[in-house]
Amino acid sequence: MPGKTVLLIDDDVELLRQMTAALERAGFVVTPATDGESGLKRLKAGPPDLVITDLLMPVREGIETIIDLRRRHPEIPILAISGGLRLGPGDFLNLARLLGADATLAKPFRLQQLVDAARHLLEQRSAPAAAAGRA
Amino acid sequence: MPLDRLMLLHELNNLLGKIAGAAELGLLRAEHPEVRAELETIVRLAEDGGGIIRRHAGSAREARA
Repeated sequence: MPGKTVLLIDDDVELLRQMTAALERAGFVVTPATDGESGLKRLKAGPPDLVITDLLMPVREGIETIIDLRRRHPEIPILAISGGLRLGPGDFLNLARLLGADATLAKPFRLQQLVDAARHLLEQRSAPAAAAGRA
Repeated sequence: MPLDRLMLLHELNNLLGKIAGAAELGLLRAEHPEVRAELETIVRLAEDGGGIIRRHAGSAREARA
């Protein structure tokens, strides 16, 4: 996916660094942000092709970010990521799905899984457009 | 299980994930077979540790329910 842009939001600075490195190595252009508020501010520079967001964060947590993002940019695919072992990651990730996330990934995950999920989401989004173009 | 202990497991789970992630990034660059083998061991052990924590937390959640 060379050149596809990703807004990547996670308050865990080390994990953010690792995910950024893995996605960049796979050819994505990544804009990292450490909370939902600063992530949404970066949207002003132009909507990305994909948003990847953590759910449990300070300032503006991921669920709120997803709701806001869905309202402003319904066309952007969203991948929600979360640990949330305390209550079971499924609880938060299911909620994220209900509120508009297109896919979810439970932490901890292999970085390659993240890259594969990002590619898959973008391929899914581009497939209907390509089919419409052929029709 | 007390909530603070579940929180601790959550933190440890995330930490192990990041240890595996750092080794995985190393694997993207490492070419020497012995270095790759050591990095693969780190990934595997960190994932094993994460599995133990998740099983432990899972049974604790069931006990609380």
